[in-house]
Amino acid sequence: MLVVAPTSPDGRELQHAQAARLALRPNFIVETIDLVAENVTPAMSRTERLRYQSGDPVVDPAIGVHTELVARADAMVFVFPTRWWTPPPVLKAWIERVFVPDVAFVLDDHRVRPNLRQLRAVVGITTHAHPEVIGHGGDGARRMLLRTMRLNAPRRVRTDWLVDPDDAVISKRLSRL
Amino acid sequence: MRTLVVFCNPVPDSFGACVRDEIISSISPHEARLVDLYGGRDLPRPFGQHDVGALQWAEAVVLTYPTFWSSFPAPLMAWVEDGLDRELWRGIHRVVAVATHGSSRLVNMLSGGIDRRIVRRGLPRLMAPGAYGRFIALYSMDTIDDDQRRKFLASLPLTLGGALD
Repeated sequence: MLVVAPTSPDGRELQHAQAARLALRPNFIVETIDLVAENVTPAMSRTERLRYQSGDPVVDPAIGVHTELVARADAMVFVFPTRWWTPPPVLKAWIERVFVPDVAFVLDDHRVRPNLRQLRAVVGITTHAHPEVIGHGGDGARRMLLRTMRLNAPRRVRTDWLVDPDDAVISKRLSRL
Repeated sequence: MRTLVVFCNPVPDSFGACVRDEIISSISPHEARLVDLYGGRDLPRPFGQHDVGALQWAEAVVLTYPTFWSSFPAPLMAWVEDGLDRELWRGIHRVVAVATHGSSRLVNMLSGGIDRRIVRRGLPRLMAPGAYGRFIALYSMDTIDDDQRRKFLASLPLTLGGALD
């Protein structure tokens, strides 16, 4: 599964996504979600928050389609710009709304238990990251996608992180998955 | 200190609203202003001219929110970033986060503590010279009892006073 948030002015993320798609194609059936083209709402709504722990947390049908893709994904690749420290709001909100109870994890007496049983690899490809800004405020994007994600994934999930890579690097690293 | 309280919680009558009210009542009335991103609506409003004025007016900013994915809810992060892009944080001397977490402190540390580091180290460097950030949190919201929640509310005026000092 390839999730793209092309929110930077130069749209470099789309170019990286294309390279990622080509690299993944020999080994995976690639499903692409473009959060900007699909006009995904960049916030969790009140209705969604109220239903979060109800056992029926999906309100938006488009998000429902995405939760099905997430539940059966073997690998997830995220392509996005890092504006200051974190992924763009449209991607952060999408994660909040799609990685919900009974999809990404199960709440067992208020403890988070992983539920993405299929997942074998998570890769982040980020553009526009400023090393100095991240040096102070922390690499929130990387922590969110690789560490927080681990709470939902099997213990042996593989992770990789690419910062402003060229196409050859994307091709090399993704064909290893 | 002129303090802007930024409240980002999708649910208007949540425990987060009690936290917000406690924060506002511990600041003297003519020095407090509130930005409520959801404001009782189903979806939050975007950053606007009103927020530009509010950040220019403020000397301190208090962000209060429930923690989603070991960080700010997406619309609050967007609000902070939009202000940073316009260099509106340059006149701010203090930033304080008052966050509630569903899971424990340990889980939050393991999963990243992203907001804590942004508030304590990332933001102050983009604010006024000598500015600093403080992080106040209530962990394990889902498992503690009402007494512990009340204790947290009662402790807020003192901890917030210290943070804004």
